[in-house]
Amino acid sequence: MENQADAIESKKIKIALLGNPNVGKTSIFNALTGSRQIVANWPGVTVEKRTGVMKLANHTVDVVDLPGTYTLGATSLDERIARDFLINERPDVALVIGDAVNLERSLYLLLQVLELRGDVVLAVNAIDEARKAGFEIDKHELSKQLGIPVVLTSAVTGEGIEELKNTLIKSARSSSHVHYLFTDEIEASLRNLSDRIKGNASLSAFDQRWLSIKLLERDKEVEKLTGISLDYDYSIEIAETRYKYIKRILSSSVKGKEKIGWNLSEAIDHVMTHKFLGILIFLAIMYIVFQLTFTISGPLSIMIENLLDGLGSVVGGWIAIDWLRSLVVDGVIGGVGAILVFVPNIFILFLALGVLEETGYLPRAAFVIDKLMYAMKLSGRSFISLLLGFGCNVSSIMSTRSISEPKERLVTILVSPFISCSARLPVYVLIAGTFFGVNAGIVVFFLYLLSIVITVLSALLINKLFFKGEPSTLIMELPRYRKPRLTSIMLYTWNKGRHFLEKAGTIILAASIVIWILTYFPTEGTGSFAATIGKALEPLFVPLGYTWEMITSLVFGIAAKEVIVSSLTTFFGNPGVSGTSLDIMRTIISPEIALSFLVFVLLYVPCMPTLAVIKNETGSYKFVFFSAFYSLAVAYAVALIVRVVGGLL
Amino acid sequence: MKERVITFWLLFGGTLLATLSVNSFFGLLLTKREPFLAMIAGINSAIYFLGLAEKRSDLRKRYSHLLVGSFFSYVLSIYQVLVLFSIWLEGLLTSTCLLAFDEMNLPLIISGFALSFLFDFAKKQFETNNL
Repeated sequence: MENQADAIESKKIKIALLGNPNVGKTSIFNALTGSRQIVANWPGVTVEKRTGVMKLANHTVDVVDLPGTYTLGATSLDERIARDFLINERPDVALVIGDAVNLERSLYLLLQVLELRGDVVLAVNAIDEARKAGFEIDKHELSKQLGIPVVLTSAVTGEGIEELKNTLIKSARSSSHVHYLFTDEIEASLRNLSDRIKGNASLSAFDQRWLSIKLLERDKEVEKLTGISLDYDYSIEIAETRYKYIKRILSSSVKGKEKIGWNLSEAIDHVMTHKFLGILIFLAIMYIVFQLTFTISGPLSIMIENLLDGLGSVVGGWIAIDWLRSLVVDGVIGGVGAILVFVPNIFILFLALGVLEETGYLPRAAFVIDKLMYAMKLSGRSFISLLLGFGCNVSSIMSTRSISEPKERLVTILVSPFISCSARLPVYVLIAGTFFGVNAGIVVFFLYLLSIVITVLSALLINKLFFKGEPSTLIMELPRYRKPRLTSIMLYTWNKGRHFLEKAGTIILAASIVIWILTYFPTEGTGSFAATIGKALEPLFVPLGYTWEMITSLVFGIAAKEVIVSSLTTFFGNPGVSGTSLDIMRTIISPEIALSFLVFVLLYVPCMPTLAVIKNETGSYKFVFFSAFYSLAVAYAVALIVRVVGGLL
Repeated sequence: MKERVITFWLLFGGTLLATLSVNSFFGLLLTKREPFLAMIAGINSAIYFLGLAEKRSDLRKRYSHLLVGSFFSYVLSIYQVLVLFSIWLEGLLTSTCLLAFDEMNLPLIISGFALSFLFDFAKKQFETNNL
């Protein structure tokens, strides 16, 4: 076998990772390639293919992590990505990752892959959890029955990873193609269809038997491809045959203790998904998350602030030229520093969300909210996408690819920007901390609640006005609860938070310099370009009571929401007035205007990257303009209500 | 655990958290007024009390309320400790002592840690497949 591996040294090997959602594909991908992709205990983490490189001895292998799929029927966009990759890219090996605790469903996908091609390896993952649950899997028997190599792995403990690497290299040149037989009637139909397909030269690149099976399952894409449409549907019979085959395999290769009563996950779910308690618990958890984000980060932010103040003083002392000192100290250190102060808030928010993901709570939240979402013509699947928006609206919109119903997907894309992303958090912390003191945490919590309310109401409105029809039903496997792993959570937090730091070093740095130039020229203060922009727009904002500084910061905030913070601190950091920029803000702005401003920041035009991803995902500028103008109108209306009501209280 | 004993613990947990909720809401004993924390404690209390609404004969459903309720109490006490830690750290950085007895909400912290033993017990019942 060693010689076999050496013999393919010169060949470039490509391996595709497939599996049901949430079986640990990304964990295996990381283990094979040494990558640090985000892993989460919920389905749908991978929405597009990712490539990494695995090195083993003299071999270099491209490993492609495909989105999770239950079938190769490809009903949603992410499932189609997986199927198209197998068909068009023809990887050397298809590695199917199965869940050791729930092998039956994993084998269902495996059989479909085996119907399509040879060179398949099965990795039965989470073997440690299966053993804990009392299951014993005989990999030799499983391998014998399936006719392909089987490796037992645990991405958590690292068990079987080396064996898997070696098996993958060796399997790249075997070409076992397993077939099992359907009923006589189906087999006869398959033969007939195969003969018809054989005559079509344009289909010679495809496996005829696989195309025939798909035609019997009434697969729309295959019908279009072959030009053959049948008036009978054998999908149920085919599924039954597959399951019978799986049961036969499992009966001889898996031994487990008989399940009595509930396991821990079922017991927890009885309460967590309770029709009344479920929503209350969800609200309580979100409150705790946002309170922690606010309180724990407080001292850490002070430390960073002190460091930046010291840096500003030292660097300021080195530069003799006034304008250059102002650019470096006020523009660069002040502007970027105003954002860096909020790094602890962002990291703690992601840490808390990471814990919720890792434990497996988030899918439960989706389940609990599903009923409410259904009333708004959205499904729990949309909720999962929206939930990702608390991190970044861009990833939220991209994750809608897993929503199979096109109208529902479009509505989710259009309302996603209302979910309060982490970029807006620094603005909340700055303004709420300045104006609402000890109640700042509660104000931030209410902003998050408001973002959910506006999202849901907008979904309802858009559905009512433009789309008719029912949302897709939420069919989602609730993953097992897991004790969160520190490394996994740290990786999650770093991967998400790093994006914020990268922005601080690029777009925010550039924006800070631009803002400084606009504030300093032609004359500093009210004669500056920034003031001109703000004052030109001021008449539009008279009902809201915003000053030119606030208006200009909103304009700059369209580039990235964090820029609002650096803009405000630059504009209000007037050296002619004593006190910090925050003190100055407090003297100029009343609390109800501050709250109204926060609401406006929450709801107004999405940032540039979000608008760009809306264009990419919808393929139309029409929806980009709709999103921008609709959100602006909603922001203005709600902010005005807040200002008026706040003024009356 | 017998049915009557589970009923006792559900009643005990529910009443304790309801009392702590009222305490936090009005800021009565060793705590400042914290209406939102009071609401969270109220939800925790409801987890226990709704366990009593389950059929007496269905022990596993009652146990699951005890399991989640006691874990939630434990999480609340950890949350409170984290808040205290950050207040202490902030005081350290600004050279002022910000900690006060009222900030601590000691009854909530102590109850949460005490109820964690109940959580451990309930967890074992499910892990050993007794239910």
